[in-house]
Amino acid sequence: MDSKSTTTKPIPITAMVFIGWLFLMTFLPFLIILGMSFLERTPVGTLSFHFNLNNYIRSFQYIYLKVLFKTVWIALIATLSCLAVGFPVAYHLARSKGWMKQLGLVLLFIPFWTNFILRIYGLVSLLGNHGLINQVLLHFGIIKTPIEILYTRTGVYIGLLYNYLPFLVVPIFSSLEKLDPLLREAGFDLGANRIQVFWRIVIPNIKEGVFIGSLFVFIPMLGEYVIPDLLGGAKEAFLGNVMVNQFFVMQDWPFGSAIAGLLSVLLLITLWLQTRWSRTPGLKMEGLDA
Amino acid sequence: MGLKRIVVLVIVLGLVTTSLIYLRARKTSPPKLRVSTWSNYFPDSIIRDFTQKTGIKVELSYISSNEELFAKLKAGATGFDIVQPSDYMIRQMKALSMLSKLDLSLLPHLNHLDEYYRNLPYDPGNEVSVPFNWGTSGIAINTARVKIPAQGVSWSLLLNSSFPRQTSLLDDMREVFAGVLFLNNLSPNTAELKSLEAAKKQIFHIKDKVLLFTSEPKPLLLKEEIVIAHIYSSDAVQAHAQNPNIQFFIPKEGGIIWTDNFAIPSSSQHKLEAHAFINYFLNPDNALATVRQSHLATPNKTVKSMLSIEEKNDPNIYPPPEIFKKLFFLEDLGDTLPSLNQMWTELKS
Repeated sequence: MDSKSTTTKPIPITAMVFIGWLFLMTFLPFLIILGMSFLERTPVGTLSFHFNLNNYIRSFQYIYLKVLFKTVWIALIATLSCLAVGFPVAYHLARSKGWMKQLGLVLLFIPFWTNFILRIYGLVSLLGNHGLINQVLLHFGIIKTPIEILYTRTGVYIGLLYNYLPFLVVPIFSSLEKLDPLLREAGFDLGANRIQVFWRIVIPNIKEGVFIGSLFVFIPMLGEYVIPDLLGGAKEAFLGNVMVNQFFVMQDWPFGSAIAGLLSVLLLITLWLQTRWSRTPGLKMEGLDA
Repeated sequence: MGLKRIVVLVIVLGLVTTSLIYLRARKTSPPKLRVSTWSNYFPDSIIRDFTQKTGIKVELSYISSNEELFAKLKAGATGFDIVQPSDYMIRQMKALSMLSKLDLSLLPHLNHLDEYYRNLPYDPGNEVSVPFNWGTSGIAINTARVKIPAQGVSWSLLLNSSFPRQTSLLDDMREVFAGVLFLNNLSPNTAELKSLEAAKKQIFHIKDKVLLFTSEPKPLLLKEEIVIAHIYSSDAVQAHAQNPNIQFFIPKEGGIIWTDNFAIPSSSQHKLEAHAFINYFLNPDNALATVRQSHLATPNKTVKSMLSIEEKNDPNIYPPPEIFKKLFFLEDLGDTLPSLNQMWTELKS
């Protein structure tokens, strides 16, 4: 389509809906948050329209940087754990045939028919000292004292792994699906063994799917706040908890907005690095259509 | 102009007109009171009675914290006619003129209220609020697992606990600091930074020994995941009803008293009906049913006289006078609040 035809053709309705939605639900709220981050909180908790950069300066205090690095670190470990579990799942799903594959995909997503908070409470009742897992292990004498999982960082990791896994499996699965089986056969014909075929043919062809899947879980984990509260016992804050507290407890909306702004910048940098790194420009969305 | 654009224009105009018609219709239809409340507070039957007797419809919506209510009202949510903030939130909302002045002549049943609750420090003379229920914060102990010391329960039982990872603290900055300040024989409303810093250090050490911060420790107490909990009296009474070994104590150093109130936001369009609603729940018969459902204490002296001997003498709901003397309302910390907020963030990071 050349530039001339775009100026004369009316914008299609679908595009208007799309652009309107993006404007109302993404762009406008972001602008409000951005604008608010330059304001000030009055002693009684209202907004004062005195523009300044203090909130951003404040967010570079040691305490907030510490929370930021901890959040990134935990999200990173949890993403790697998701990969460790999710990759074999995706690999096996992609290679299975017929009803097995359909059933596998359905089973992967069935938990998501239940509300997120309910699933977290489900984990609470499983993982506690008097929870199902510990009680079964105690009953059969496998352990003598309950294993502390709930309200520890391990509990947080389990919650993250459980809730985000499918978002990583699907992009990897769909890039494996698209991998032409003839490529593997050609590799074998040319004398490569299974490991060589995997590392030199499969991995290079699906690495973008792996990367995108990892981003799909890593990015929302950075903003997580329910899991650290309910499974971590509200003892260790993620950046999301600090943000939510600024809005709902401390009533410091400008500072909360500044943290939200910085988090958005962090996400944009991650996405920008991803586009730089991948061979084709733009975020490849092939994982999304599954 | 292309056909599609005309279609879009028609759709948009259609939406605008229907919403305008809807808004007009809403204004002329019989009044509907929108009440923002806590969950499990009003028995359905009493709300139905109110609608039958007055013709005023009621729509309940629920909040889970005072801060949530504040955020909703401040973000410009209009249409609420009755809100139920706690004491400290009344003070804050009153200072910001978010609450409408009450017309006491429309509240004849106010004479049932105990004198003490007509002149509370946060709103003397019931200018903008009417207390509806009150309760305390203290410690719940599973006495089957924890021996009650002969010299009485102190905050140290919770805060210097010999039951590591079997205790919980309220997930509330002011309440947690209050507990430690009581332990140090200071007022829970201390605004002195040195004392608060010292309290922060203590909480930091305690943090590793408590299992979790939560404002709903009841289920964990009942499952015996925890044996000592920092808790609101209403939750403790309910836990006690299900497991008699769980007992509630106001520690000997003192505890916190709080109230839930009725107030009318200044943005309300139905102030007359809102007064009728408040007056209805000041009526002893209706207040009695509500108090029995919520396990809270009533500030309504007529209701209290109607309670059974056991209910009236339940020390967990109505602390005896010598303990009542040691109860404090949380007061506004003013300029110290941001520093305390910062300390709380540091504690949680």
